[in-house]
Amino acid sequence: MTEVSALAASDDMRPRAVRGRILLRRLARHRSFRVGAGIVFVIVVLALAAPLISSGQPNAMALRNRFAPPSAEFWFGADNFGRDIFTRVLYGARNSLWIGFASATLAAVGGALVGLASAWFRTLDGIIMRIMDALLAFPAILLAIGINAALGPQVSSVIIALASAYVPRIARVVRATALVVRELDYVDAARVSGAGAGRIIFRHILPNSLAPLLVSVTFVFAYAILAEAALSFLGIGPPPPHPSWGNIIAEGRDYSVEAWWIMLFPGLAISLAALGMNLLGDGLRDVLDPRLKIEA
Amino acid sequence: MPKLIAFRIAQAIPVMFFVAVLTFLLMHLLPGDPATIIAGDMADREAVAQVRRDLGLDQPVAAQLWLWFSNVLQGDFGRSLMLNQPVAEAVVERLPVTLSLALVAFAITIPFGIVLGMVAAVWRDTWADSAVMIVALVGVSVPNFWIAILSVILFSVTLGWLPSSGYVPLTLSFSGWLASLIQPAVVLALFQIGYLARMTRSAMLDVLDQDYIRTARAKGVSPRVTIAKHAFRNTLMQVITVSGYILSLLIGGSVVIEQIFALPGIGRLLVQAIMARDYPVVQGTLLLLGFSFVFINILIDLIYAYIDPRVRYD
Repeated sequence: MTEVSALAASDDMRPRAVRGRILLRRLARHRSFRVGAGIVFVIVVLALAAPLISSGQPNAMALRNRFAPPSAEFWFGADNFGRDIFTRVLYGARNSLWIGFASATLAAVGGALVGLASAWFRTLDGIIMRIMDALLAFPAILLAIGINAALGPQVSSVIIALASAYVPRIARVVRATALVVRELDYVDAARVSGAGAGRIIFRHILPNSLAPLLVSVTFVFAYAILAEAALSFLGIGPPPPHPSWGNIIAEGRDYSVEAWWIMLFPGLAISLAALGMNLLGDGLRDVLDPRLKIEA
Repeated sequence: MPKLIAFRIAQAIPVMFFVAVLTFLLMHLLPGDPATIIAGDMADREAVAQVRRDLGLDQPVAAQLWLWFSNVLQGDFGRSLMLNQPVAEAVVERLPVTLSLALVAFAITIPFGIVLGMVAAVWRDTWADSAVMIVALVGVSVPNFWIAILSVILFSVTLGWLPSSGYVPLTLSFSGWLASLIQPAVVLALFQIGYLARMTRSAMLDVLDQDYIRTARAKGVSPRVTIAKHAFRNTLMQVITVSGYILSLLIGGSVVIEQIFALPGIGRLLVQAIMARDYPVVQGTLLLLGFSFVFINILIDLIYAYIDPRVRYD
């Protein structure tokens, strides 16, 4: 690196750090971001601390407790095998949050790579975007069902299915931003000072396209939690007995009238988690990128 | 306009091509040997090999793709293994159910979503805005299949107002048709109402910021007329662009909802086919659904161009 560009880089660092602090302060003041981040934080802590909060095992059966209604002993009641629903919802959070997080992250990486490639290599743009259009022709849930059907019912295939369903959506957002950023002066400056394609893409275009990417990923996280639950409910999600919020509801469905507690509480957990992510995403969008429009 | 129609259709051809390739490749990822499944449990090796030859499964993937393409172009989507009938026939039989469900849900979504979004935008930062946005946020956060079960417990089991399952064809009785669809359609619409209300609100806020709104108010047009004529019409333009997307989502969402209300639609067929590993049906259903989504997009683009001349002459 030459002295000039080193100087430019260090010059760049200060305002960026200041900008970061301003953004953080604005986020901390944003009401829906605070509420959303609070909800998500509590759910993540509960999921991680599951063994500390509940002494029971999520799959421990006790037939004498079959269909025990909510009580001091069974906060959320017990299911048809006498398993404690509270414990199952706690451990189910691990599965559901992991699937949501992993698929959102995978979709972000894949979508960013596709979007950047499309924006940078203009000759590939046409064909890449037509393939993305073909994927976008399917609603995400349908694509996830199809891919998941092909890969078989495992946690990993649910993650791959959901990630692939959301890659084109994120790719479109990243491509749109990257197309704007690549025309900016500092990209020209980087090119003139001899930076290669890889360096320009990953050091200049990507960091400056992060805001819409980050906002999209939080919404994808929320959708992924809902979609995972739907897949599990249809019986093509992570297989029982490992609890996920979706398959607890699926298992409780047959008893939804007599033992409503089996399906009520995991549903509340899904709603709360998705609500938290949506609020958090709204806050991020308001602060980072108010004009961004995201498709489910 | 005819030129635009031709252009949009020409644009859709590569997309449809990739939809077809994608569906084809997806089914080739399926674990297990389709020939073994088709031939059945009792078949010996000879029979399996015969099935494989008959279906062209011993050919290279590219040749199989070509064979499948030429069949599809002739309207032959293969035969269902579990139903023992042509896939196209099975899909066409179930299409009215899914379309009815999606269209009734669409008819509920559009007015509710737009009105709620406009109320929130016009009375921005008041209790009405907060109330609408909370409802919209809950709508996009609550899993619809869960709401569906709760709704059945309340309206069908406890109150006995609506049937909990089954479908009555429109040709048989209109009121029966509507009664069988209203509950699933409302549940299906909830998410979209939330989504559309949020979209409409932000679109309307954009429009209310425009110079022509200020001009209208400055020249003495009443607030009501400004909103009803100037703001509403221009907001509608943006709403139309997402309405096709909403219809696609409703069709996709019906896959899950049909399971709960035992509606014999395409979604139910798809899930049954996945469970039974009836791969011609999975392939055919996904392909037809994919094509219909491409078609909906073209239609929306054309409606948009029809309403907004600027798009037409661009």
